[in-house]
Amino acid sequence: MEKVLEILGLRVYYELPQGTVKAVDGVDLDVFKGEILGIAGESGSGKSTLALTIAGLLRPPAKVISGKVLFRGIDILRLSNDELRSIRGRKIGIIFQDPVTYLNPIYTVGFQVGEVFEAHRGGKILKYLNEVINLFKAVKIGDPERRVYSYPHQLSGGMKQRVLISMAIAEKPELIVADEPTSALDVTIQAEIVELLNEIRKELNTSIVFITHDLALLLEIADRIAVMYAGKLVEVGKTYEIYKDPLHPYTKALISVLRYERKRRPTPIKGSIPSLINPPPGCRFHPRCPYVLPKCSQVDPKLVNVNGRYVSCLLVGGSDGGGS
Amino acid sequence: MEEVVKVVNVRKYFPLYSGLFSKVYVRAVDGVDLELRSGEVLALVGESGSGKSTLGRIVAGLIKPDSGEVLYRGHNIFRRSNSLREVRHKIQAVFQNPDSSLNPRMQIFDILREAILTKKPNLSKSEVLSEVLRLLRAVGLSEDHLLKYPHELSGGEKQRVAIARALAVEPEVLVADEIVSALDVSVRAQVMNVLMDVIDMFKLSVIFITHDMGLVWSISDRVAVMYLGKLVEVGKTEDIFKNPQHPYTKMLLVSSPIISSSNAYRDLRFKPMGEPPSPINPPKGCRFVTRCPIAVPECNSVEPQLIEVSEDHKVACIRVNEHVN
Ligand SMILES: Nc1ncnc2c1ncn2[C@@H]1O[C@H](COP(=O)(O)OP(=O)(O)OP(=O)(O)O)[C@@H](O)[C@H]1O
Ligand SMILES: Nc1ncnc2c1ncn2[C@@H]1O[C@H](COP(=O)(O)OP(=O)(O)OP(=O)(O)O)[C@@H](O)[C@H]1O
Ligand code: SF4
Ligand SMILES: [Mg+2]
Ligand SMILES: [Mg+2]
Repeated sequence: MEKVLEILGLRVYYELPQGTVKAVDGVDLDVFKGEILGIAGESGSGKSTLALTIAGLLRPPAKVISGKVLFRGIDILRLSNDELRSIRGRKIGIIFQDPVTYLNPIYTVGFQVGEVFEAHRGGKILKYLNEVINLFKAVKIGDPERRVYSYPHQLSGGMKQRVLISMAIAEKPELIVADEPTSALDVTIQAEIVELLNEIRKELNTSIVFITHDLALLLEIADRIAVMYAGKLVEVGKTYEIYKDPLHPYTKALISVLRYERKRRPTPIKGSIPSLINPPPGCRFHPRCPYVLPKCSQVDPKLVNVNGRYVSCLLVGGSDGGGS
Repeated sequence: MEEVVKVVNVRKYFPLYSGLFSKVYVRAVDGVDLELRSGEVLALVGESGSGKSTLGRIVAGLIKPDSGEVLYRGHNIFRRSNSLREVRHKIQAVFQNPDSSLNPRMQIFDILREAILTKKPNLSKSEVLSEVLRLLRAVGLSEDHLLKYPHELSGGEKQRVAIARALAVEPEVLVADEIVSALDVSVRAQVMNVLMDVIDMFKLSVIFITHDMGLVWSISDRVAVMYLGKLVEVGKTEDIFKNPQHPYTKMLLVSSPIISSSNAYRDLRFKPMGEPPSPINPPKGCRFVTRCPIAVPECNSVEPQLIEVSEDHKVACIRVNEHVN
């Protein structure tokens, strides 16, 4: 399959006075043409850091320690700011959880979407009014001829997110990175936005990296899922395979929590998420793992291919530090 | 079945100033009747802003309704009387964010001691200690936590302390408002376990407010669905999931990414559309009319009443008897 994005050995740390936060610590991941790749992980697992890296938006104290992020073969991490700007927004669209941060309160939303065209193609913003209206239609904003003149505060959360999506798809990007795009929305609105993203994907044959802490949502919309824990990927595979037969103990635990049964207590995972300044040695999940063996605290398991699935667990497919 | 709490035609409007002199009202809770039965878990679900928390706070005695009553075993919880304090103790609430309810400057022991003494001021020091330990164990914590401050605990542990504190005054009713919503999935299951344990241990009747239909399925006996300040459907959990009647309930279930293969309700005619209107100017007639896929002209003028459609199953929709499911 055609690769749109290839992440190789990526390490991104935050250098803080109290220590180094190993937010993304050795991630390898491919994104294929036209797929929705879900990245699931609990808070602080490094999802947003990964998203910002792909979008070329990392700012200090973040620091790329090693690795490559190849977009169509070009390493995003080595581009100048100008080169980045011509890719970001044009070839790579970005959608974040909180549209308010990315919309300027003093300009109309139509103007701000027009700016995207202006930035990439020049000319007067007014020239793009029709294109903006068409975009609003595409993202199903009702009454687009009037809505282009609305200010952000006049729109609901769901509408603002649609405006952000319209900006992201303005230039028909090959890749959309969506970081928790629906986490602040109600489930019914979430369902509408997710359907919209799916339609866009089909229409433009865009790849979407959909990042969320909500694994249940990914099970419904993603073609493949990558599960992240404490800065590392622990399992990557086709959605239905991961659901049917999760291999990594952490994925197993997450899926079992999601199999809600009537009046039955969920099986808890003991403990809580570790600090990324001093992550546990060996497998980062070992202090919480129900299958832990002595070697788990010594050997750092690699992500290895087990019949088409990628898993990093010493108990599965022999991912003991040696092979890779 | 025995009623522990009865909510009678409760209304709460919040004033909102739009401009210097014009005042409008947010109709947060707009005429709700509901009962909580002894020993049950009643899930309260609905769109954000539909009035769930306001209703929960009213039941817990934390906000006074503009009109209507809340009865605890027949006693109006807002009527001043000698027994008011005792009645109030019977209904306790726990909220989503423990940071706003646990005093950051008190150790866990003091937080629990204070709560115990409001109920039983005459306990000796050693009796208080053993009571504190009993509560901590009930929520899966231990004496190791006694001298810690809230900031030294994880989110899940703080939420356990909040539950223990609510239990300290020996309540019969617990209002649990999104108590696991802010927790990570892996920790959420721990706290749900604790909640289910203490419900059994302390024989609690619970109003469980949540957005997560999966949790509703696993914990509740009955479900009440709110939309813009009103109840639109109330019934047994199985009936609500397998045979939902109100179009909003159907939309909510269709939208919920829950993983319960046998119970997922999927009728794509009820795919969500539109956005909820403002609670300041709710639509006339049925409040759901702007988003309802099966609305008829009458829905714009007739306000549907909550009526019993089958045993223990009430719905507020004028088309409900047409069996449009
Ligand atoms: N700008 C920053 N400065 C310092 N540390 C940061 C910064 N951004 C993130 N971190 C730290 O990096 C780690 C990973 O954070 P990140 O935001 O990538 O996680 P996440 O998976 O997106 O979490 P969430 O689900 O909460 O959004 C965390 O420990 C976080 O505290
Ligand atoms: N103290 C207040 N002052 C003014 N308006 C309020 C107040 N509390 C709640 N509201 C408004 O009342 C309505 C109902 O709010 P409430 O918090 O009860 O909803 P909810 O169903 O709990 O929502 P969520 O799911 O987002 O928690 C909302 O429109 C809210 O903005
Ligand atoms: S009363 Fe009418 S608008 Fe309201 S839910 Fe029923 S059919 Fe829909
Ligand atoms: Mg994030
Ligand atoms: Mg609430």
